[in-house]
Amino acid sequence: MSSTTAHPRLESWRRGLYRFRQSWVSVLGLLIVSVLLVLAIGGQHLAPYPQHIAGLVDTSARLQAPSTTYWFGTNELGQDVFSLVVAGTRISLLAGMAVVIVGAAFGVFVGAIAGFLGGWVDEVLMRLADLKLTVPGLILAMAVAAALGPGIVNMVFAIALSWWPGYARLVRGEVMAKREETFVLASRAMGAGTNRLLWKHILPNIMSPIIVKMSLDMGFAILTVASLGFIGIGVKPPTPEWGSLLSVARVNMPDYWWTAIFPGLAIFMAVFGFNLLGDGLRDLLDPKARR
Amino acid sequence: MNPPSLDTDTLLEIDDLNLAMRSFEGEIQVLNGVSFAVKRGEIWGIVGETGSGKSLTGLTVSRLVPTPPGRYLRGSVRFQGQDVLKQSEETMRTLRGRRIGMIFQDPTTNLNPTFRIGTQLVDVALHAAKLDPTILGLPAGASRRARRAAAEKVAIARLEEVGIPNAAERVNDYPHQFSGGMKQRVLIAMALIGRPDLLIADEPTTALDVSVQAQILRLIHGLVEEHNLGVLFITHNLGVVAQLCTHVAVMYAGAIVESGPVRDVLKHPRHDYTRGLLASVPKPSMKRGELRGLAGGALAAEALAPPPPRAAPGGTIMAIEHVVKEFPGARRGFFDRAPPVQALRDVSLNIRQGESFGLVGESGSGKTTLTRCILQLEKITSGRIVYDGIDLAAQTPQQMQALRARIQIVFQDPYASLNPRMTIRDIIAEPMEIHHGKLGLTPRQRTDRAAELLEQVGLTTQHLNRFPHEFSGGQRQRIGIARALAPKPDFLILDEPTSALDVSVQAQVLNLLHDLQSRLGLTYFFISHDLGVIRYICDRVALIHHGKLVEQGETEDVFTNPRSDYAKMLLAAMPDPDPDLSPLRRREAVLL
Repeated sequence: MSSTTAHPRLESWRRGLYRFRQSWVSVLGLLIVSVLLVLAIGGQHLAPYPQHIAGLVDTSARLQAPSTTYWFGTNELGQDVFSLVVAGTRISLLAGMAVVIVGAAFGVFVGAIAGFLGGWVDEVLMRLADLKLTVPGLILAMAVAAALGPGIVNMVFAIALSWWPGYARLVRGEVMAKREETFVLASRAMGAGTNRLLWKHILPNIMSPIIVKMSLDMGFAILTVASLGFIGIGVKPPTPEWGSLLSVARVNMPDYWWTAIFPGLAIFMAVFGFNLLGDGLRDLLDPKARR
Repeated sequence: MNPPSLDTDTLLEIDDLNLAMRSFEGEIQVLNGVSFAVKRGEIWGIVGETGSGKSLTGLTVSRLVPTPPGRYLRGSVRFQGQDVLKQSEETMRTLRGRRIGMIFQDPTTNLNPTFRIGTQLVDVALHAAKLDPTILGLPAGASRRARRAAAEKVAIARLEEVGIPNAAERVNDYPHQFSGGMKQRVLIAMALIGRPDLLIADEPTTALDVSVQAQILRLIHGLVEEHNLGVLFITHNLGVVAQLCTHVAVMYAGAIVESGPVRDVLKHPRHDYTRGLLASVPKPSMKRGELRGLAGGALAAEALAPPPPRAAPGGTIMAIEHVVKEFPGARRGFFDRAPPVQALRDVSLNIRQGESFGLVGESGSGKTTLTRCILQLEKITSGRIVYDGIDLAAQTPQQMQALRARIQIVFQDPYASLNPRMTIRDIIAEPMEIHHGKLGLTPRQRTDRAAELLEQVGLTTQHLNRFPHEFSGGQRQRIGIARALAPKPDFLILDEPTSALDVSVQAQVLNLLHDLQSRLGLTYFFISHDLGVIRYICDRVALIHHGKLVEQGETEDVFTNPRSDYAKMLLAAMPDPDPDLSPLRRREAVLL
């Protein structure tokens, strides 16, 4: 079928890139996410005032408006808001990713077992998921974080706990559909066992919707992390994090708007970027879901 | 309407049509100078294989090819004198469904499942009446209610015309309450409401059973005689063309290689491709291994080199004894269930070592259920399935696991039966991994064996690291066969292995199967609805209908001297690729 002599994997990547580039919003999403990733990795070195990130206070330059020296202005402690926002990228992105990965891993495991085995196992696991869905996620996360004490690991764990049922449901449905495919039947006829069917035949074929959901969820996970930071559970100042930056800055509103606007804008851009990327990935990996 | 001219009978005139499609690979020309003309009362068959451009030709007539990615390079499509390619979208909408009716392949997806069929037909009638009020037979300005009532009458009349019994009551039914053939009739009724001059039918019988296909062909033939329509009948089935069409155009790679009256083309083909296509269809007179097929768009030079002669069939290897399979009935309320559905009713057959045993049945006859029961993927309700002296149902899962290496299956759909995320090497090596205990091969040896199997089925070792999507349907089916052969089975279930393939590819796969059987001494259990294929490859045959065996015996006996009514009916419904044997034409001859 294919006319080129390139390696098949490479060929399919090139095809993917071609389709991805057809939509400029997806490219924009990829661009935003790439910038965020660069900031998350090299933020400490890219920030103009690394000493402010470490907690240095400069009372001579309190609450200065945005200027060429301080791009996003300074806060009530005289710290450069731009540096803080850049430094906050790492925590937000890391926490968001951790939440999505932990939640997805657990959800995929539960959903795969429920979907493949069916019967009472399915009933029990899915009713557990339903039970979880009846409790508002943020409240549960707050309760867990309050019980375990503040801290980034506890926060990730708390949010992930409210995150897995979405994946479990998605994966369960996909597994049930794929279980009936002819190639799975072919493998059963050869004598393949549950493990082989599930991990070699079914799961590799449902990775696309999972990856798409993870990407779409990243934005919301970052938002949730910021919300917990805002209400004071999670990352504590002076470690810069977008939610807690916003929380501290709210007393400065509206006169010193830059202290709140820029962390808020950062959250917005992150959510926006991951959503656009997720939409693009869906078009790429799961073209049937496109409207 | 039209100024009277000599050519007033010419409905459609396609002249030097060239269409290109843009894709990742760049722009590809998909139609290459297509020209033909359809007059009233003519049924033009457009035949060709997958990707030959026959469907695109049909879509072009009502300008349904999306542009972009499509782009018309040259040519014209004149429908009753107007060039369709130059009309506004507005004008096209008045043509589609009115002057040009369309019927598609899959009748299930073309009816909206949430509306009663009456509602759907009335909608079409009301819409058509906006452009031509005479359809409803009402004066302009009739009340809404009167129009609706008239539209309903039109709907019922059309349904009666296409042979739906009790049409007046059935308009209140939903699409799922109709069988596939009935749905296709409803769609034909819908296409007729606008009183079209031209009917475009794109593979309208491909998804239907042969007996239903015969009915639909008779229906279309009758409609043409009655309404003096022109028909564009797109199909890959030469038998259907021979039965129904007055003219035929053979397409290959976007161009018409040969066209003309059906007898001229099918009886005295001039082009090599047409000859090759005709030689790919199994005929009753052919012996096994005589099918020639196509090579690179032309007739293959000669028949396959004859494989070593087969050993005479031995004793019984698979005995199916009084097998009954029931499925639990649908739930009715909380505790109640409908009576169980009997998918297999007392089926008994004996398959001898080294023979090809054919099982023929239409959709829903239980043939697939039987294969699943043999493979122990479904538990039988009663009876015994004895393989080589072993009662399969009485085996423990471990014992059955070992037996699975000896009984393998090739599935119908080569696109669905290979895992798209695995390389060809991994696909073929999988049964060897599963049956490691029996075969005891190291990964290296498995790769070697996979390469060897690929060569055995006519592919090369270069294909090992590729993924299924890079192969054509025929190549994928070869891969499926290689996989089935990997654990060295002696019993092979072939579940419609060629129904999803083009005829030329089917010929190649049939020859391959013939060759493999002779070389490896395999026993085939060959399931198909295609009587021609069964007759070509099978030594003995059984017919199954509604879960019951209605006839079994030596293939030649059953075909030349059928005893049951069902066998007689099936044989009569089978479209023969000889135009002189068409029952529709015989009637024509009588009328003349």
